[in-house]
Amino acid sequence: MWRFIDFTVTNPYLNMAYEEVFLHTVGQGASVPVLRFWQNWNTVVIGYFQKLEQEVDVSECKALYTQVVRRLSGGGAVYHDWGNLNYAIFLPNNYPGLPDDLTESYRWLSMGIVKGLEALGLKAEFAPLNDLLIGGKKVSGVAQTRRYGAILHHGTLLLNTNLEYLTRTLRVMHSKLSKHNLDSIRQRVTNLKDLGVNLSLAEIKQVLIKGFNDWFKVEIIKSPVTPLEHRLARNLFFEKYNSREWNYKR
Amino acid sequence: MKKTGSHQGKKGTIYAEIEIEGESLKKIKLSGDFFFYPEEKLFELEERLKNCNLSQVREEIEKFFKKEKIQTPYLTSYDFWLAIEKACISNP
Repeated sequence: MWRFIDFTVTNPYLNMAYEEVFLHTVGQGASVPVLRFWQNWNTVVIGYFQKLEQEVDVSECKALYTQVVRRLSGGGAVYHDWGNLNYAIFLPNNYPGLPDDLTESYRWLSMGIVKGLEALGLKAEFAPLNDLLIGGKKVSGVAQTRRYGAILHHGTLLLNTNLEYLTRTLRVMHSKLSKHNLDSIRQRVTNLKDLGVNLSLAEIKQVLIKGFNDWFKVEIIKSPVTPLEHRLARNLFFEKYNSREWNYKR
Repeated sequence: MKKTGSHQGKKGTIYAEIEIEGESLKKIKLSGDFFFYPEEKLFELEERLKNCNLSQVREEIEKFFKKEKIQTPYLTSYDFWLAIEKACISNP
């Protein structure tokens, strides 16, 4: 059995703190595996090793009231808003069936969302290491971190994201785009809405959960965040994620 | 003397900010959109490279990757060296 935690707060720094808390609780065996769905309002999330000023247009972020937070996993910066759904899987390191090979684990852990997208009538393709494409365009990017005896595999899913804000706030190196024969990041990504998915967020979540059920062959039961998890998240928010020291770490 | 360089590997760009004194690396900071496991070992690598003679840096990185069983999907220790090398030869 897994816990399904459909839990979002409006503060992106606190949202990120909860990601670390579930890693702890799952890694310590205080919780069964967790599937979490959550969202951020108008936020850029940078990768663990990234330098904020290099990846983010800070003046555009100020103009657009976009907040910026560092996450625990590596990889590139992503844009979050209410048109984007974040999914996160928290598993103990020794979870049955989890491939030993790192790249293969990215594929295996991405299959839940691939199956969910299939159930929405979309044929998604896993493009190693960490992209999910539909018709050659990116709809989801994933990343993993492995700490405290657990694995966090999390990703974005573009439902109806404001692609103008995404383009204005993220600095993407020209060489990275030219590798994909593109002029702008906007040509590389697409929203599910533009692919004909017109379901409500609640309906999309229901279909996606079915994908996770089918792939991982587990019962996923809706579960609240525990008082201890709330307390740990508040501490991490104050001590880490809301600090300049963390967000300008590199 | 502070210098910066970057290298784009198969999966990810590595930026190196370095400070050189004589023939040695005084400070180094590596950043970018790469994956590096175990994550915290990146900071240990930076510590290891401090005060390292420039001629030894490539070998030190290789040794560190082997000893610590570092995994960097679609990148190798050589990609990290290339970012540092580009910083070394850049104009301050």
